[in-house]
Amino acid sequence: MDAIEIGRQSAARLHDELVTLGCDPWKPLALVTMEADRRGIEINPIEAGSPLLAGSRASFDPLTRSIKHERTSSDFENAFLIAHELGHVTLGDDRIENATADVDPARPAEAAPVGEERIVDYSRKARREVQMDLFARELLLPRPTARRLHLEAGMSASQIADKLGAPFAAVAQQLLDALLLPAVLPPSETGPDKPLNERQLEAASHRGAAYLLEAGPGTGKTKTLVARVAGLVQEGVDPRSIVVLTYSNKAAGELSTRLAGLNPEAAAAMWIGTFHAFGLNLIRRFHKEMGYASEPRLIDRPDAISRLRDQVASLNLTYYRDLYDPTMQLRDVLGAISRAQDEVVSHERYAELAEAMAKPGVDSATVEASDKALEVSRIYRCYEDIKAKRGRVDFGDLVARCVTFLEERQDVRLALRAEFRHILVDEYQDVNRASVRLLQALTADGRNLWCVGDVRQSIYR
Amino acid sequence: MSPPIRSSQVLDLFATAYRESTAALAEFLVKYPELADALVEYAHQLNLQRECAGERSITPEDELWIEAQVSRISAARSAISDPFAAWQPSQYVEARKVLGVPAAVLIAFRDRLVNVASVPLPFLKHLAELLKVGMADLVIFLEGSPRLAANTSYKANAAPGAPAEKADFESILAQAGVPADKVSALLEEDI
Repeated sequence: MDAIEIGRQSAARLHDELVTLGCDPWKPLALVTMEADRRGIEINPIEAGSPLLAGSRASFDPLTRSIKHERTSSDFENAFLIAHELGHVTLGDDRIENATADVDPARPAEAAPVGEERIVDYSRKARREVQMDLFARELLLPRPTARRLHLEAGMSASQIADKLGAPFAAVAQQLLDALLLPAVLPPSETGPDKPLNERQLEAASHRGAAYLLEAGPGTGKTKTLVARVAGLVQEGVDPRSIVVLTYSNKAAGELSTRLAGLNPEAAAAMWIGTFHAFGLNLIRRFHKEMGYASEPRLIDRPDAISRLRDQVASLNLTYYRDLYDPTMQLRDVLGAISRAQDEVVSHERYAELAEAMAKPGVDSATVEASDKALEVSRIYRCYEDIKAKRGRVDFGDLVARCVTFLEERQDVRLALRAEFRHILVDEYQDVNRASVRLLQALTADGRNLWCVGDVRQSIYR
Repeated sequence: MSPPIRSSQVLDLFATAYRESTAALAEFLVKYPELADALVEYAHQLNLQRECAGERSITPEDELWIEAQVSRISAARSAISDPFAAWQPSQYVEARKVLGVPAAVLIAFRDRLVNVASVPLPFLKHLAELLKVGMADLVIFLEGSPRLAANTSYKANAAPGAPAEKADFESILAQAGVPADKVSALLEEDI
């Protein structure tokens, strides 16, 4: 389970509640209006293109407790825009940030750019926006309802779409999700199975300076991490300011499920995911500041090899030249480049280090190693050019690119530090230089950074 | 009720007062902030006339003085604090009811999207009373550049941004879906 699924389940529960209260499920606009009324939120339909919309299609303002949305000719589309904003209301954005009002004895002297000087970043593909779109779709047509209508009432996607006034694509997608994806069961609403022991409690309650919990297998590391997050939420920390980073999707999914069992709305609002997913989200949000014309797409290894293969003949290679089938050589070189990215080493620095290897007086094997590394640096540079020209990023860029960007841009760094006040890292034993530098950029001297790991389980051992 | 004073009359009064004392500039700026640019320019012209009458051309010192005064006025404008900063959700709800406008219109004022010259005085007066600020301070605040609200969640195809230009009050009301008869009532100049 992830934050998006938690949001969808929350929307489905809300749909059922509204129907139980007497709302007609076939009237999507009435459904969202009822929910807005229940929450004391005013809905303002606005003429499309009006400056009141500030270039958006919809917005939720917690101060005025109102939703503005582009006035369209379709009730369903209007309802979808309102439902998207109701997602923000339900999943943690119905609170007013007031950084200066929060008591924080360790507040850094450097102020984050706020108010009119703040950095306005946006990506409709950012996880939070995707989460709200899926919340909206689920609120208007929950997957269990779509499944029942199709299997029990025998309605096709077109018939459901016609009756609901919805676009066929939206209904078809929801129906496909309902029929083809495995059902994700809601997490059981249980707290931690056993109370924390004294040492676990001490670790979970730590606040302030960076903290590393080193413990072996079976000692309740994850339980302590979950308890710490629950404790922060109980203390009133904004869940949106909590980031839980892991090194695998599996670990992120397990943590999400456990946290959703304690507090689904808070779990949907906080960031729980891998370092790479976090980096991708940052790149999407700040793509313009990073110099990309549009949100960069991911390039995978076969695509990278295929594009490099077209260029490699012009690189005048000796060691990594294989005219018959350069694929294998390129796969190894891309592996080396990936490791360089993990160390945040650019192609320029790679070339410098390669040249430095061949100091006068070194043996011939070292000279050859230096020459080989220089060839790798040329391929590395060519690969970087290919990605830049095509607006692509690879897996290694997801963290490394964010590190160099945040180290260059103090304003963004401070803005993110203000946004993410508590960072927790699971499986800390698997850190590399890129992830450490990312954590340094995201925290002020490691303040409110809390890590858990077991060095004996490190992948680098 | 006396008819509203026209801007040309204000400038005439200012010319007389300024010839007697240059302190008139500060007084008129406080009373008529909407005419700030015209008043400063007029003061400049009056200084020029005075200098030319004495057959003395403008010295670099004069230029420096004018520049300093303009900077002082600009600084005073930017020092006006945000009258909406302390407003809580309940105050917005109350203002919606008292003023009879949807939240989107209040947001337009808060985010300085409205061309202040197009807002009827009675409406401005009501808003200033609700905000507990003087009319002059409210006008100076509203004359600032449009801004993008913090704390707001957006759904957009690209990064949202504050509009480059302000819109007239009437147009804002229409875009926010305020019915025509209500718009007419809100545009009434009579208190």
